[in-house]
Amino acid sequence: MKSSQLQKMSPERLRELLNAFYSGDSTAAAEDELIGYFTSGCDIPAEFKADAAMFRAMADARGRAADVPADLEGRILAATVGRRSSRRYVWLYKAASMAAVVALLFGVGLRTSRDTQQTPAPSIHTPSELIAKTEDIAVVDTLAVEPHHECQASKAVAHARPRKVKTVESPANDYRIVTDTVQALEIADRALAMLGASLELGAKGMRKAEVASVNFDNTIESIYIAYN
Amino acid sequence: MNPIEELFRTAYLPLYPRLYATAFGLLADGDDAADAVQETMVKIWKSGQALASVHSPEAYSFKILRSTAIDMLRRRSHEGSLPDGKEPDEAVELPEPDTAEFLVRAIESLPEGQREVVRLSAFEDRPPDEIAEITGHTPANVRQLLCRGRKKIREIYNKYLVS
Repeated sequence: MKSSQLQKMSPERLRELLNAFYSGDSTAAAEDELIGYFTSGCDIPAEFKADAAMFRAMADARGRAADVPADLEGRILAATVGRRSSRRYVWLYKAASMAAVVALLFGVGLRTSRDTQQTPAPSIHTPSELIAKTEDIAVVDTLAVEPHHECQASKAVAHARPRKVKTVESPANDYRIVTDTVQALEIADRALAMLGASLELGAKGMRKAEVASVNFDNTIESIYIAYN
Repeated sequence: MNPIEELFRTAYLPLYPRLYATAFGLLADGDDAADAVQETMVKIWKSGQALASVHSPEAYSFKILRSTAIDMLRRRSHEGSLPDGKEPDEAVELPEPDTAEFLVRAIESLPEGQREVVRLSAFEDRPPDEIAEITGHTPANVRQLLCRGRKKIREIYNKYLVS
């Protein structure tokens, strides 16, 4: 509506529109008419000053609608990059867990006493002895970690994606049987100590990975802030 | 461009202006409103493949926006309030009464039921039927809440202008 027409709005018409508005029955067109009148700059009767201020505020509010920022998509991407980086370290958690499982199964296998009919094979005193005794065992290609192979003494090699690594596969008949109870307990203790050391190493690795992830996130955030 | 990216650009990004108006109605600050909408867009973007099964992008977006804005309000310390029968805090400079910021403060002083309805009408220019659909009220109840809320706001303006 033009200012000249709005100025001609009679007080009766104004009261009619306002009554509908405050009753919750006004239409969108009526509200636009009221906003247009109160923002036209014409003289407002004193009894409508509060209404005028309120409708001007409504006009201000509706006029605040912003256009889509040109760099919005870039900001969205920047905000999601930091989150994506933390997923790179999931493999480390998985590898540490699998290494713990392998070491545990190794310890359980040594604890189990089996058939005593044969002459007891030399028991394993140290992890290095086990590794040394596997020289004549065939080396096969497997995926990075296979926890069900009980005689694996190699470390679980952690990679971002599964890779074939050399592991030691125990031939079916070359399993060390320990019949002496004391020796078996000693071996189990050493295996559990090795497990504990492996878990501690894994925990240290995870802590380092967490710090690296936080540092990466902070770097991305700094870049984003500097850019904006 | 994959289908999800296309969906995001065509169905969600164009909602930005309306989302901004709503955010402003909640936060009364342009920068905060922009932050809230950006955070909302990020959350929508992270939904990924789930966006393909969203029935109403508009409803989904506004739901996330309101939750985001409310979280921001909770984090923000309350600096001052409009007179609702009380004198305003002299240490806090209140905005001019004919500004959107003042209207936001006035709406914040309303009872909860009236607050959302009046805000949807004032800042998003939604008709009563749409407000009923969003809030879960009946259209008749929406009109009643608008009636009480708007009268209450006029009282606030009257008191402020007289004082």
